[in-house]
Amino acid sequence: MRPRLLPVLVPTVALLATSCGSGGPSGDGEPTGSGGRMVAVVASADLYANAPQRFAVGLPFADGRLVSFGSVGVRFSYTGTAEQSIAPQPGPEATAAYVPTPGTPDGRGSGPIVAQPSEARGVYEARGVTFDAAGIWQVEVAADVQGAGTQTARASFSVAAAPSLPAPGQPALKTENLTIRSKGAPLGAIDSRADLNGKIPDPELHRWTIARAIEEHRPALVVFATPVYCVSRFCGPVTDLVDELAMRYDDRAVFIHVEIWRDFQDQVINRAAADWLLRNDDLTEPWLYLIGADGTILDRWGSLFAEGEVAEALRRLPPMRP
Amino acid sequence: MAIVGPLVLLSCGSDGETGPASPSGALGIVTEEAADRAVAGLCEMHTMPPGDRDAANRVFYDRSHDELHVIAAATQGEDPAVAGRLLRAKERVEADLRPERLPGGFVRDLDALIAATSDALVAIGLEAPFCTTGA
Repeated sequence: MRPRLLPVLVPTVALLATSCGSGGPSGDGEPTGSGGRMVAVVASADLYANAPQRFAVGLPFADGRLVSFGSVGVRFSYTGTAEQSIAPQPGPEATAAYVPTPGTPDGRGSGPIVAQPSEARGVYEARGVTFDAAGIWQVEVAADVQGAGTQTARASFSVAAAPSLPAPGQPALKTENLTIRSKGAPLGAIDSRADLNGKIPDPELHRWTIARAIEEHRPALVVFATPVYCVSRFCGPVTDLVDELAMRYDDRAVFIHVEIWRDFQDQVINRAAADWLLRNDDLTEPWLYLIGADGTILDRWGSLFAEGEVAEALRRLPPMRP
Repeated sequence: MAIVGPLVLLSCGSDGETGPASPSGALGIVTEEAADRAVAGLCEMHTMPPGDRDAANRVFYDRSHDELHVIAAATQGEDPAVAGRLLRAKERVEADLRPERLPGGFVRDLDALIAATSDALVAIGLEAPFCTTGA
């Protein structure tokens, strides 16, 4: 069976093609012209109960524009299980800050606005959200959008009893991912960008295996992504951003890019990516993992990540021995 | 399918529509209208003054980019080789649009993307629109 590669956040058009009427979004503000109402799209995967996590949501309009910059309010409700729904029970509330894709300018000093995709792309992320039960949860997003009033939207999502992918606090898998020294591996299996011009970019991201980093007690920042064959729009810039971090913090950790595809044409996934991310023939990407010197997963980020937050996590690590 | 899957299943229930199946993939359905709009954006990029990177960037990301992902995802299930060509062609155009000035090979890369998009649409059983001028 061919694996299905799934985005943590799907592009706007796709979302709206699959969104539905009465069960979908609601808005208190005025629809913004012909753009319709704001939709909430959960951008987090592998959420699980009883542990603080990041929760990300994208806020597109039907015409492809996106709510961007500033912050929005999020309220969560527990609505039971897939087998038995209940009246929504109030859960945590939080403020979610804008996390832009690399290349999007840093805010504009003001609250949320509606922007074209060419102007800004990103998600809103709340940190430290704890869901106290597994089941079906609902998020209600309230955004005070400049020129459009308060827009609200709801979306449902699943929370599992335990993570299905490697998660913080667990030992990292001692994976022998492909590197530039791997014999017999197609260059594109090491980094799909090599399929464009026959060269592996960012060689510093392809020198270490996760297994060796753990063996040598070196912290590692590992990005699982396929820059060329990504399903979502964020993979390429995410890998670029990790390379920028590698330039600045090479004294704190080793940096590793694990390409998802061994062979896109034959739909074969790299073993390393499969070990970490493939579950029940589904694989979500991109993911970013921070592994400590003792081999324990310290943190992980799905879809987009705030560069400053990852940089801060790297700065907290003690300098590595040369 | 899945990321959308849980969301859609939860919010849409079982109100499935009947009718001819439209090509679809992990990112949803490819409609002729949306595909036409995406290709029209690429065609418009062809008609722009050479070197107008900002205008090309606007049209690409505001009109074509997302739908190209949807088309590629739908094509991946039918013909991964064709989907791969589309994604590589798209990546080249994105790389062309990153710097402040368009590189010399931009028009060639744009032509390749238009051709790859047409091939993908044919692979999923849709009529491939074509540019009336330029490409």
